[in-house]
Amino acid sequence: MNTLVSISEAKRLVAEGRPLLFAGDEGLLKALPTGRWIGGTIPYFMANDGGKKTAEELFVTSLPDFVLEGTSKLYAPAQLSQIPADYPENGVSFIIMPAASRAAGDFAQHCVSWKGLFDRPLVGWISGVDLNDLGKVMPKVFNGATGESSENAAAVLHVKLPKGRVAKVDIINLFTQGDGDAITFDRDGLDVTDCFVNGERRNLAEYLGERKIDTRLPLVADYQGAMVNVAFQGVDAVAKRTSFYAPVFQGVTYRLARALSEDYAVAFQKEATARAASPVFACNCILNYLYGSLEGKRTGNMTGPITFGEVAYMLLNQTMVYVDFE
Amino acid sequence: MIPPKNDPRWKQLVSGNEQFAIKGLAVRMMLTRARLMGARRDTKSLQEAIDTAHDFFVKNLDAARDDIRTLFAGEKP
Repeated sequence: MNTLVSISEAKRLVAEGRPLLFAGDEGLLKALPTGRWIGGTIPYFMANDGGKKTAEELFVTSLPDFVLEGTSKLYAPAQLSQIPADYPENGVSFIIMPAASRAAGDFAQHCVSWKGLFDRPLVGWISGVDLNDLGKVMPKVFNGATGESSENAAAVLHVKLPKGRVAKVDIINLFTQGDGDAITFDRDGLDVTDCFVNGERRNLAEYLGERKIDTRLPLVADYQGAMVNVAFQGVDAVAKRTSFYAPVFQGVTYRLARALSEDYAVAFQKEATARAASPVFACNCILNYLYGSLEGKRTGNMTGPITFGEVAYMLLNQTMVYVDFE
Repeated sequence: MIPPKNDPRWKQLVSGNEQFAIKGLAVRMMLTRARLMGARRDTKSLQEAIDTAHDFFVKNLDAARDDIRTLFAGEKP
């Protein structure tokens, strides 16, 4: 089950005891009884009838009957690197972190150096708020086992699968590297001044301004065929600083994305259909929702929260993430 | 199926630029990160990159079987 439900239906599902993932309004998440679930705040969804904003319903992902066990935990920023050590022997770990939190920032910048990060599927999202409430309301995550919520920790649900079942994480990223300049950085970071354009040191904000770059298009890196986006958060032409929603990494070559040649929703629909995926869990980026005007439009058969960042092992931007069991 | 860590193919894998037709997202991401370590060229970083890649494949033998074949062509499963 991957759908929007009423609070009473959500309570009924928690009472059944099956491991669940929730996304929705803070007040609704607070009203849920304790149980085997984690949740995060967000009012935007890919619903069965298309992109939708609501604070009246919760999005629930109910895991299949063969899922043996699910244990949830809040990880403080200092404990995040322990997550891979807690991976189930065979299973998948779902993670939710609040936007702009230390947990999300630390995860984004340091997770790739954690021992064993890629050893088991790690998938999830960054919780957020109504865009009209940015700066006024803090995004939160919830650990259903205790009823605790946090603005700074990561909520993780470790799920065990039976022998013979495997979780597979994948992404749909409509962006590919364009044919333009190779952009590299001499340090990792979410906020930069300089970069190297085809090996020549440049101020990135100046470069973007000179070229009149459309920063709705992300920087894209090629991870052995997997296109990994870094979305622009802001370009300060006066301070000559450029900030991102996910970090750039030293040694990785980025190029500006090629502009899409067709409508976002149509392109998503085509790609999702081509994959023939019927995922257990999916999420898509708020920037795709906004830039692609996805409200009221379906994105294939994929339903789930619209998020402030996506996790497929590492933090991604402007990407749909999904997980399936085989 | 998985070569021992002292097999020269590991050094080639983590310090080379060859592109492979890899299927698994985790393999793609892990190999990219291992190559960033391997690109530093010092002995410690290179060994760390080899350890990372080798340990990953040992723990993911079933899930990454096709990719292991692709990366170490000639090895029989």
